Amino acid sequence: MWQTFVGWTSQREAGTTLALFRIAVAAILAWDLVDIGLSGAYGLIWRDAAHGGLLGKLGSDAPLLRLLGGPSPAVVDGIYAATLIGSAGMILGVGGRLATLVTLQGAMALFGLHPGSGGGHDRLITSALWLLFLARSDATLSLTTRLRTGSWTSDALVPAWPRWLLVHQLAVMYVSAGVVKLGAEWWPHGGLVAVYRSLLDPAYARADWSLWAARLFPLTQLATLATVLFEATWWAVPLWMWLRATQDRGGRLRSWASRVDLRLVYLAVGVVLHGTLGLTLNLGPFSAITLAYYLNLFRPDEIRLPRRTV
Amino acid sequence: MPWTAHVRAALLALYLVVVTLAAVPTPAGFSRTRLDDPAVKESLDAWKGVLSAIGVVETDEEMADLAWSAGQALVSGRQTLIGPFETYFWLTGTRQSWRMYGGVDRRSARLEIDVHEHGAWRTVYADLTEHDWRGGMLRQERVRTVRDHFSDKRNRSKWRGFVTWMARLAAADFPDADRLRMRFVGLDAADPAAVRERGGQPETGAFWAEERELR
Repeated sequence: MWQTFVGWTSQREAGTTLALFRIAVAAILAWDLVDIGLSGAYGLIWRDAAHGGLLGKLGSDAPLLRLLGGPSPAVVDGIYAATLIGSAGMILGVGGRLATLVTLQGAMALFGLHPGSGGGHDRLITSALWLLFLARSDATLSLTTRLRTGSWTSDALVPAWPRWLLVHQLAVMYVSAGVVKLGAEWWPHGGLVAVYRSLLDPAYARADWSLWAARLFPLTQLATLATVLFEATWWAVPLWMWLRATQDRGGRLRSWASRVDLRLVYLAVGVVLHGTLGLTLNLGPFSAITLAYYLNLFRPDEIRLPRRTV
Repeated sequence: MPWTAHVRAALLALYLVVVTLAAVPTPAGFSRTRLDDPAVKESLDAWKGVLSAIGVVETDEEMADLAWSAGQALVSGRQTLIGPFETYFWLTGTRQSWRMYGGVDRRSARLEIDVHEHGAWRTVYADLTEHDWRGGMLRQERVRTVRDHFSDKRNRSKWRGFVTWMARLAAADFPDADRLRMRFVGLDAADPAAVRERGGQPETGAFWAEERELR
């Protein structure tokens, strides 16, 4: 079994999936940062009270803030700019691991400035950036490749394990989030009212869904049950991928995995779940970054790019 | 296979184990007094109904004790296993905390902001209505998460600071206004039938009203 694991961690594949994920993560982060700037929230949450913000003291635990002497306005503004530039570099595929590292440390510093603001999407973004830093995510679909080879794409092989770790990260997030839904409102004995209540909360809802949610209450109950089951069983997806990847070892489970593409089931439910969440509730970049992780379910040879980009 | 492949495999195996263990959920801000929170008590009551049916607990006290000891075991066990890797998580931004929507309270609140102009109060902002002064900022998701604490009646001193901060904006945006008022109006998501009959959520009364002079 150890030899199988060593062999699996040594696999290489084309860089298309990781490159698409790199672009998606950087674009989502860049949009989030621009939105904070344009909305006027920047001065409230990323300045301390002495400089016109809300908190008496900003969070200063992030490694970059410790290195730069703390979250003074000049430091925060500089980190904001550097993170945006790093994100742009990642989108274009220039700057390699340096751009990714700058973006990661910048995001960590900014997200930690105002404890209690933000949410799970921040950790999904920084976890993605760390794994992208470890990966070779600019081997294709990058300006670097264009300058080196004359083409935007390349068939250069890259380690496959970062993509698997990204799938693992998504599975860990889902299962943990599913298991922690212990509030009775998520369960039949509590009336399966969690989704209904969420839609009625003005702090989260994008519009007044109260009458719709009340009229479609049985549907919200179904959505509540589906959410818990979907999240708590997401461990089956990386297991299925492992079974598919080791098909040569035979067995009934692997035979089943070769016939049924479980990814598509969870992808379809995930798109409906996160799409609905994104449309009805204000969860920031959560839906977008979670759906971006789904890219990693697919091997590069399973992703066909439009001919013109090749 | 070269020895480097084995080292890589070993590191990746360690990574998978550590990240998985770190993601084992533990209760947020866990303390005995948290079990007295009305929303937590409501949930414990419902679970007590299930567990008493199978003879695990019989009384409210036994349910609270079970929740407390289970929570403590999770928190301390996780810290023992993951503690040595905290520096790694801190350096790489890979902390695994996925307590998202573990509980959804039936109580929520609508934020309302009024300004006093020409001798009368005028609503300039109310959640999910046409009154949308500085709505883009108030709905920005990182501000929304800060506001969410206030609507849960947490951190009142910070709420007062938030009102003062908004007053500075109001003083600039409403030159004819002499006062700002901000408050929450409690809402109850109890019963879909009541919402349908009423045409909206029942209100449970205003709270945390604060006023500020603008001139």
